Amino acid sequence: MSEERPLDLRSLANVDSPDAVRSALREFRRRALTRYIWVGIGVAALIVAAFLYPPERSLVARIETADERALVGYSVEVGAATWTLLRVADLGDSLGLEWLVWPAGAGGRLSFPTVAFAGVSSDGGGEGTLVPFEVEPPADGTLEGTIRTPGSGPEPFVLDLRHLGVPARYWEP
Amino acid sequence: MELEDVFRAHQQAVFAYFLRVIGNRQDAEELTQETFVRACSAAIRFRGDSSVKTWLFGIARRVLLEASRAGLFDRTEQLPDVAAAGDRADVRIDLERALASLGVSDREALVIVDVLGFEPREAAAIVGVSAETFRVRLHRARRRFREAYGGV
Repeated sequence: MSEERPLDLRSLANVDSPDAVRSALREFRRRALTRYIWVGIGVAALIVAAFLYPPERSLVARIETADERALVGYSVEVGAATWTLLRVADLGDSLGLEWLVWPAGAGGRLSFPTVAFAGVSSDGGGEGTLVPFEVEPPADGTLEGTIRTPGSGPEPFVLDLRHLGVPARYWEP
Repeated sequence: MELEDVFRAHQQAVFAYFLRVIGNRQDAEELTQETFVRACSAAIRFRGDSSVKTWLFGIARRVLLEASRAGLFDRTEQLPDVAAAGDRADVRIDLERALASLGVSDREALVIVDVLGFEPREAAAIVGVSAETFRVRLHRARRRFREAYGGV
C-alpha cells in the first residue's frame, strides 16, 4: 500500500481565517454566565420550595419532639391487646396522643380493637406498634373515646387527662 | 502562554479543517467558534496526553460529527465558488474542486494528513479509528483524489 502523497495539498491550509477565538471566548463566558444564572435560579427555587413546603413530619415525630410533652404510662386492656398511653403532647392547636399497642397474648396474629377519639381512629397494626392520635384539645381535660372490639359493639370510655399527670395548660386556651 | 494565545496559534488550522471538509465558509466559522468554546470548557481536563493540536482537533471532529448528524452537510456540501476565488492560482482551484468532489470521509482523511500535516497515527487518534484502518482510508482517499484531480 503506497503512502505517497498524490499531490502537495498543503497550500489548501492557507486560508484567510476569521478571529474565531475572541468570539469563542466571549460565547464561552456568556454560556458560563447563563449556566451559573440557571444553577442559581435552581438553588434559589429549591430553597424557597423547602421553606414554603417543608417535608411532612409524621405525627409520632411531632409528638416526640414537641416542646410540651408529658410522659403518661397509662395502660388499658382492650380485647386481646394492651393500649398504653405513652405521651401526651401539646401540638399548639391540638393534642397529640401516642399509644403503644401490645398484644396481650404471646405471639401469633391478633385482631386488634379499634380505638377512636372524636372521629379520628386508628388500628393497631402489629406487635408493639406506636399508634398516634391528634385530637381537639378537650374543654375540661377529659377525652371521650370508643373501643370497638371485633365481634362486639362500640364501647365508650373516658380518658381523664387531669388524673394522668398531664398539665392543664395543654388543653386550656 | 495564555489559553487565548494557544487557541490563536491553531485557529487557522482548525478553520481550514472545517472549510476544506464542509466547503462552506460561514458554517466553517461557526464550527470553529464552537470548537474553541468547547475547548475552553474542556481545557481544565486536558492532561497533556497528546499535543494541544491533536486534542483540539479531537474536539473539532466531535463538533463536525454533531453538525453532520444535524444535517449540516446536506446544505453545505458544495463545490468551491470559482468566481469567489479571486486571483488564486488555477491549480489551487483545481485542487479545491477535486477535494470537494470527494466524500466527507475521504476529504477528512486528506485534509487532516495532507493539508494540515498530521502524522497518520495522530490522525487515527483524532478520527477515533485504529492506525491501520486510517491508513487504508487514507490510501483510498488519495487514490480517489488523484482520479478526481485528473478529471478536473
